[in-house]
Amino acid sequence: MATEITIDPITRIEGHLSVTVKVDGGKVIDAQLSGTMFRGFETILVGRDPRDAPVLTQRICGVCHQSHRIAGVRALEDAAKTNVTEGARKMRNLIEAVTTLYSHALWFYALGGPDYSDAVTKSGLKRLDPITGRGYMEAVANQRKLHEVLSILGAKVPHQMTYIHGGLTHEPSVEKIMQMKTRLLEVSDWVGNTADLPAVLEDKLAGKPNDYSKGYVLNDVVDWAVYALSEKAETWGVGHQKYISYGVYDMADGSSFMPSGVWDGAKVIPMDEKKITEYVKYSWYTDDSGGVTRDSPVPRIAPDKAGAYSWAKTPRYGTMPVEGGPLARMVIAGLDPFDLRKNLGGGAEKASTFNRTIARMQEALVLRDKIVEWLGEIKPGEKTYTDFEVPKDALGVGLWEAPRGPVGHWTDIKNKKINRYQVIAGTTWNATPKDDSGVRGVMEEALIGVPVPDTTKPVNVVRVVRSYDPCLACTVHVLTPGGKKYSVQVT
Amino acid sequence: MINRRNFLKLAGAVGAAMFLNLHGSSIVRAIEQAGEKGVKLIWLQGQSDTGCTVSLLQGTHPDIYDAIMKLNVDIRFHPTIMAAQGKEAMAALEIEPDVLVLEGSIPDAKFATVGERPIKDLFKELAAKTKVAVVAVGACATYGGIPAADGNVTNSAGAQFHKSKKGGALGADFKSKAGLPVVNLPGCPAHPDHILLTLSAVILGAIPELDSMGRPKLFFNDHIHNQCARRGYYDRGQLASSFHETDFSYEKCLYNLGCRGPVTYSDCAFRKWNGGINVCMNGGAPCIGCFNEGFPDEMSPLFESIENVPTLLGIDMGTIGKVAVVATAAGIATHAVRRGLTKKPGQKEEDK
Repeated sequence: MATEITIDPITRIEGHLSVTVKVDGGKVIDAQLSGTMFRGFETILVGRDPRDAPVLTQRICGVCHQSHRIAGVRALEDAAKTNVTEGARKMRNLIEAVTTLYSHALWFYALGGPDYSDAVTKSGLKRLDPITGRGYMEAVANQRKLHEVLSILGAKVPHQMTYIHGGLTHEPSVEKIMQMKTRLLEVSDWVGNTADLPAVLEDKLAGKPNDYSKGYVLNDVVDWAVYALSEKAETWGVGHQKYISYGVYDMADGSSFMPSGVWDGAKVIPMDEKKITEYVKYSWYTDDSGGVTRDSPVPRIAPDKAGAYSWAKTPRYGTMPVEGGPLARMVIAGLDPFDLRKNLGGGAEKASTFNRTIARMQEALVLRDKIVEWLGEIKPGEKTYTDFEVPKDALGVGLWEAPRGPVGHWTDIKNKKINRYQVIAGTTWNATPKDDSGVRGVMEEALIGVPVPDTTKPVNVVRVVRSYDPCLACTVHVLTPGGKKYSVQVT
Repeated sequence: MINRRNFLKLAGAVGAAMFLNLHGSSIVRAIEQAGEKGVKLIWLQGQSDTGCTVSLLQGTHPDIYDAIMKLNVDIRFHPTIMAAQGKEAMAALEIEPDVLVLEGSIPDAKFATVGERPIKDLFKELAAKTKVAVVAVGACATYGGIPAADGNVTNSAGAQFHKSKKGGALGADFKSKAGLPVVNLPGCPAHPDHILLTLSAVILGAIPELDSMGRPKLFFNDHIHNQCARRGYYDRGQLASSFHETDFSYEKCLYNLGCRGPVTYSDCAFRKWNGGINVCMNGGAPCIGCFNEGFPDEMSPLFESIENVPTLLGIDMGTIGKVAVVATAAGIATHAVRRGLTKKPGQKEEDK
């Protein structure tokens, strides 16, 4: 007989999330996810000055506290057809890269990593113990240094203030560059030299004691990987194995360092924004509330709709269920440093709890190296601002990547005021209900088949959920409120 | 374990010695008691973005480990950092907390739940059981913030205020078992020093003096404008007219680009952020008034100067708080015009 387990709240993520799974024969056979907090940002935005939207939507999330501001500014600049200066482009890339590095490090040590710690699962990985682990403490200190860099770039963090329509509110100087470089090199040392990773792995496999002079993060990632493989984490938490990336980091030639695209299960195809579609059959909205996001109306609620079980809508690429996040970005960019996913995870493009986590840390290593390179390209005194004027009537689309997935803003400006605003955040792609064809949401599907040998200790369920680094404040802001039901049960 | 000398050092490092002047001997007693039992703290998240928790991690004087471990705080519940989840996490709420922290605003029951229970009910129950103080952290928990802005469809409000009006989730008359109203630490996010120093003081039994908006006077007794590094440019009438000249090197005040420093109380321009590295205006960004009880509605449109914001200039004079703001805004407005015309250096703000 199947056992039903509801875990509410899922802690050590951003926001309010509840998950219910059915377990039979020691494995998950059904899963449903529910975000349990809603604010109604889009309603609050209607009628306001379009320039206020990036500042207000930035506050959708205080963890990826740059991402919504960036997407909002890009939507504005798209509407006004503004091209920013080289100086702004380079400084903006640095902001994104440092944010992503901090976010990934915090995930590894404070959010997802503790699920593999000695305190939680007797793994011997004491450095990953929550709060008291050495790794946790070092991560708190190092994320603070990265926030100091973001503060030099953004005036204050969380919720940096300098990234505005038309560019940046300040210009680089020798002093600022040196202040940033000092801190970035300290964090780089803590992470370790990326090129040493194979050596650290070989030492570990040869049973040698950890050599932390090669970097703490490198050692911890290798320790984690060896333990996660012993738990067969490369075989569960799989899901649909299709990916989307909007592309991130603007290069001088107009390309993106991490390119946009869709992995359709066999190859990368170009990503067309006009195909981004939201479905509502299993959501508490009227059936005409979904559709292509750039054209779709403000959704109307239908709290008593038969069969619906979530306030979240279901974004799809056309009809394709796609996963967003570091694994998606790395697959679409064709990056698998040291072939870790190919050799240890059963394939560079394969999805699993192991590959999702390793891809996150691979991306952190790629960025560790790129950040110092990009900082070196910034010239003191470079101009960072371009004239900007709010257009009278326009639709602007801002597509970007938050650390945890694709973030898109659509601003519909009428008579210099916001007429309609749409946001699809990174976690929205992952933490959704079924679509109109009955295909499960990305995280729901990934939970199917997850081993739960002891139904009183569903640790693998939360490991899968946390492997997506979910941010529920980002996801559930889009929901239109109303209705009586606020907890979700498996029916 | 922390002793009186350590705490004096800690408090002195950030100019918080005033707490000690007010409550010196009770602190010593409280430290001794806390050392034996540990102080039970619950941190609830309502309609929040976790930004205040991330801000808390940026504290340096004291940092979070000093504040938590040396003060022997027993954090029973914090969604972002606790090891437990589900039922085990919910069971941790079955206590009478010494300190209850709220991050995020409180909406009607159905819009925010945890453990299948409305957070509004949980918050009210826990507040009624709280022994020392309920501390509201951030713009949302204090005055409602963005979720409680116009267009607020979730009936969202702060712990004891909605905008500048007393009431909120707990009602105007709420007091903790120790007889304290909600301690408000506004800001988007709240400043880590404000959070950690206030919590440290409250944990040690030293209750900071609060103003009419429930804020510790120590941090909120002056307008940002008066402590701003660009204040001298304002006094000389050197006002930036576009973002082409907002970098500090251009020596311009951000008043005309929408700065809300003249109408917002906080010591952030003096204290700065992220270990004292920077603050909005120093980075060329006009203040958006995130510490203001009227954030965001009475601050919008954010990139228009104070004179062009109708609510700031007194369309709605319904509350005492607003009258004060309006008086300041009007004074500043005429002042700025005069400065712009005469450009006399050295004049003081008081001669308006």
